[in-house]
Amino acid sequence: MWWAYLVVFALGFIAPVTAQEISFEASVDRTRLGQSEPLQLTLSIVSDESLSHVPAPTIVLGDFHVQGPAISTRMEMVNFSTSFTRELTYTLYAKRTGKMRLGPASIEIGGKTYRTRPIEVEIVRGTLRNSAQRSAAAENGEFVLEDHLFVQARSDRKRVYVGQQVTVDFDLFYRFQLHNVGFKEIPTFAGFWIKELFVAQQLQAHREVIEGITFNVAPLRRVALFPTSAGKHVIESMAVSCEIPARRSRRGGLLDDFFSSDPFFGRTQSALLQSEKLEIEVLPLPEVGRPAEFAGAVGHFTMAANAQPTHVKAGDPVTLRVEIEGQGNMAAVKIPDIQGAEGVKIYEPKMEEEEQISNGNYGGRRVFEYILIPETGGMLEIPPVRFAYFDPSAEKYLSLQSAPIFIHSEGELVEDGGESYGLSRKDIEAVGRDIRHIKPDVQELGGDLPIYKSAWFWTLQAGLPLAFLALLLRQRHQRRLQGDVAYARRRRARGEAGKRLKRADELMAAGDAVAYYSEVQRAVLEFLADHLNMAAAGLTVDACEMVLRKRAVDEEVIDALRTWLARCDYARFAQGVGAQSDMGEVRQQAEEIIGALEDKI
Amino acid sequence: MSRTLCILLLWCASVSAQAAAVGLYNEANDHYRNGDFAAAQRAYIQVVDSGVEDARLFYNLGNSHFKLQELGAAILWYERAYRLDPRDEDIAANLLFANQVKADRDEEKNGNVVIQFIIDTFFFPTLRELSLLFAVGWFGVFALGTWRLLGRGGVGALWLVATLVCGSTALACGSWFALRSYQQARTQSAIVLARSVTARSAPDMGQTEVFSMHEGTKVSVVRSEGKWVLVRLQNGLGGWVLAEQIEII
Repeated sequence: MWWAYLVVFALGFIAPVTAQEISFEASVDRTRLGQSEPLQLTLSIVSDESLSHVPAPTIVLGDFHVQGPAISTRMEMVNFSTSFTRELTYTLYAKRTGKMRLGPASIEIGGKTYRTRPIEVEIVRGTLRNSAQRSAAAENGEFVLEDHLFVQARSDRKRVYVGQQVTVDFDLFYRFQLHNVGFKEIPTFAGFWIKELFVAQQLQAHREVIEGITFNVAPLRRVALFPTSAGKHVIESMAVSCEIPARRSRRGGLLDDFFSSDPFFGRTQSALLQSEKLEIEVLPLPEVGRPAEFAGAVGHFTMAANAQPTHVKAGDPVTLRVEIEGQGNMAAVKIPDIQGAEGVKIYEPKMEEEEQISNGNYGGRRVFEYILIPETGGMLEIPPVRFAYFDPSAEKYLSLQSAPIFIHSEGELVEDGGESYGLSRKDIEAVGRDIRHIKPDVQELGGDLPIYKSAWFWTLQAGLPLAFLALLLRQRHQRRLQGDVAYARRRRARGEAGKRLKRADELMAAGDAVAYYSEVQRAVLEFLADHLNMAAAGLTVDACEMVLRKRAVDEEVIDALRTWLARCDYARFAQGVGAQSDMGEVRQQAEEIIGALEDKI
Repeated sequence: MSRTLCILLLWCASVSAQAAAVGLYNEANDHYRNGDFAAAQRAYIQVVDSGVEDARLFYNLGNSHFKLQELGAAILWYERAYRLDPRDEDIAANLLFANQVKADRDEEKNGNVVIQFIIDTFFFPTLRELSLLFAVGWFGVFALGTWRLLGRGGVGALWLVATLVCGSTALACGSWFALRSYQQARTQSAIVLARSVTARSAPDMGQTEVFSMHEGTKVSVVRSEGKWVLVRLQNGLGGWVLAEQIEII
């Protein structure tokens, strides 16, 4: 590559830099090269002033794949004059062979436009496919890279029908070690529906012998193409970049015999490999014999249809499943149209899809699930499902048809024909808001007074402890009555006295004076005895006085008692003395004495 | 004799008044259903004026106010109905809805979850429920005591547990009821009835305007002075407004 620098140097020498002057030159490292080899194009700007604000030059390089530019800037001082140089280096790979013109490149500096001279380069090509050229080149001792390294595009068919699969393989053929292989440009496949079948992540090569020469062949890409229209379609070339070993040959060539015994490969160089364009002739599908149900499917397909369950009540859903499977462009397999089923409502089907690739052929399966709703009772017939496709190998249309499907439906649909079979359900949406409606009519009002606001509620609550207290006291009283004789007698004293007095009244009414006085006397003495818890039999007048005095009863009461007792004794023993009025007085006094004693004792 | 007659006459009068109120209420409902909300409102108010306190009546009156675009009065009557029957779904829903459409936004609840939970729990049972629970526990305590007193059974563990449960229920619910009643008696709430009300720093029209609020806003009444009332918002902001602009719930 030293001569390339020489060219640059020479150019620089021929156009010496003077003050305030700018030179703009273009140079290439060679003018004749193989298509896969890189071409270095250098644009150099030399000035006596700094080039930091110089814009990028413009150059049209439509016939090349471009890498770069790499920019370098340097400053030189010769004989006290300074020059600034900026170099832009492009790496170019030709897209085609033949003679091409590079440039002119132009740049505008300080309002002045500078142009380079155009450079003519010749891109040559020698491949295995052109054996005559190869042998000629070999005879001339010329090394042709394409003899050892190339990308080939191969299609399985050159002539297909619209929609028929064409499989294109892009393979890398090579005879020496490669590095950094990558896709540089991928064809767009205009006019085709594409399905990628394989994309290489790393080179996995097998050996292939071509015209007696062994190659490593690595598949790079495999695509299934389905032409969408008739006519001639061109598959553009694919560009692959890689790095190959390089060494300086004895003859000064870039590459020498790669299989020589010299093991030293110290350097690498990049190369761009391009496949040849392929031309595919696409035939239109024949108009003759095209079935009505044909929707564009091309390939080979099978169809199966079945309905489950076949015994239902009217209004219950039945699932009809149509399965189309085969090889070909599955996107062209459209929903089979089911028509003419009387008494059955058919909803849009749900589709499931599955892709399959077998032996490089693209295909798959599409399952259509229809929901059928029998609307009437009886045996309902679903017409056969029809599906048509074009078989390119047989070059004719084929039609598939399922057996008729029968559904036994029971009863009649009660529904009023609305679309509410649960198939088009969605969440209920609120469309407006308002207050809730009024409460209905009533039979009575005002029953809402809280219980805690009523007096009887709190009376009851207060009454509970009072009642309990009363019960408690009564309980205690009862126990005391049972356990304490003196207490019991005292508590009963008044009651017993009352009873005796009542009995005395009866005796008085009967006119029995003796018995009367006796009873009255007993009433008072029994009362006293009960009160004092003593035996009534032992209570004489003296005993009474003594006991009462001990209890500090008033003398007046004691006297009254004594007098009264004497009076009663007198009346008892002197029969007939006491008149009716006397008996009443005695009775009255008895009451008074009992009352007085009750208070005092 | 004359007393019995008097009671009988009073009872008859009360029964006939009750029947009249029911008739008027049902008539008001008919007006409402026919879309004559003003007539319905008049009839409901007549029933209310007769002294009837009924959540359904207050609720329906609130509805008629709402339909007549009287949001403040609607909220007032919903609040009154809610106090009588806080468990009624319709009342709670309409109160919530009316509060959502009023001009002033309600204050956010307390940010502390625990405190808010305690507050919510405190206000969850109604006074009616608390009083009933108290009554049950109270009655249980004395019933069990009586049972024991009458010697129907020994002081078993079951009796002890039952007595403790009844006693603690009565104690807790009684205290709760008392606290709630105290709180209710102490805090007096009111609803703004005027379309827009400006609260002032003192009971005088010339005083500084403190804040303004709109129809339907609920305030706490602190005290009154002449025709002015000191009200406080939920956020603690206080101001004097004219008594005629608000109505106590």
